[in-house]
Amino acid sequence: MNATNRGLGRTSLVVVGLVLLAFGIGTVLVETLPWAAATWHAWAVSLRDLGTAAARDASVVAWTWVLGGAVVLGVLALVVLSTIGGGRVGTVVEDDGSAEGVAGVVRIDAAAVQHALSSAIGAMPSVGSLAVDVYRVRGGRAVRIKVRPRRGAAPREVTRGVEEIVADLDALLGERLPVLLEIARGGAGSGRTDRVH
Amino acid sequence: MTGVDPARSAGDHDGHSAVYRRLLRRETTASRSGTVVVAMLVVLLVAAAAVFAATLVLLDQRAAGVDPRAVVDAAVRAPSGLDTTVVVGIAAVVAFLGLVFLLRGVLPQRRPRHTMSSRRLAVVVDDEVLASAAARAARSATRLGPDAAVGTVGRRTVDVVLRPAAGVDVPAVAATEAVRDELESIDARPSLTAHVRVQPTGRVDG
Repeated sequence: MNATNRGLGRTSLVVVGLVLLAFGIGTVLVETLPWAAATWHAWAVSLRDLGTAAARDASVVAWTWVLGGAVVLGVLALVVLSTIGGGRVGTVVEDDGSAEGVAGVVRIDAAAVQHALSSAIGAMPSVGSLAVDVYRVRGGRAVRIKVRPRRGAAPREVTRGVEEIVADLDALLGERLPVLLEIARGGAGSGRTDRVH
Repeated sequence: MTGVDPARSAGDHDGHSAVYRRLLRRETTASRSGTVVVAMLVVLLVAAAAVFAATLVLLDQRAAGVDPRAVVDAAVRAPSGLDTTVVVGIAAVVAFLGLVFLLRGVLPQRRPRHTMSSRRLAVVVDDEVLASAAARAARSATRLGPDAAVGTVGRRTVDVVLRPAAGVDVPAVAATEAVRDELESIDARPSLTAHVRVQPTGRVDG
């Protein structure tokens, strides 16, 4: 539910994986097969400027390219790392009202929705524990309700209860936010069964 | 994306169907962020090593008596002058790491979860919750103790095994009926079929 860019992550995994795989297999081949070594020697001529035999000027130019490439690579890796996680927000609704021009802004904090939902859902008998968070999804806001039911609780019963509570929230907010209900295993109280069936 | 078809369960969500489709797709497949972090750390390490080597050469210095240019020379001359066992070993490790990254990036990775239909919400349920609900349903039709029913949930099947104490008769048909009713009310996607089995070897209750 967080804002991780999964496409970017997978693409970079595939690219890094392919490069490492090709490097590893290539090295093994060069070490073990004579024809692969010959091909490598023909190729490696282009690395001459990086070696000890090169003139100082050519060497400086070649290694400057290495330096620049490595810096770019490092920055790219940091950019990919920075796309992981995030997306949780503090406000649910921010509205400056109708076009009639009344001054002021209405802002509803995520904490208000969290408290309202937590106290209402937590009172349901089949719910062991729960967490409510507000995330940014596709430019809008979405609420995630993570419920850990008691052992043996009927998922449909949990869903129906949450649906009713969310309907109340809709009436309260005057807006139908997208809501994700996650019925998860484990957690506090899940080891005990419901006393009353 | 996969056979889950979250679009169906997000059918009549007023105006949120695109958001719900995205949420359900993301919640039913695993995130690779752990592997991505490892891969990016490897890349950072390589980049840092290259920067270090280039700096040494540009300043005409050596680190621990090794000139990076001599390292390049040795690589160009390969395989002569290198210990084959060590190099092949390291290369194999690198190739394996690359293969792991590649597979983690390419293969679809499903979480053990199902989605549920709802008019208002996008709902995902852990399979473990479904299993315990099915076990509870089977048990409630048979008056067995809390540990006598065990449920397992696959992608399309629910297996409930009843293990009554020796000598106790179990109404298997009623239990199957109860599990089927429970699954019908859950209405999971992809849909689940129930199999209830009574384990013939009895148990001795303490």
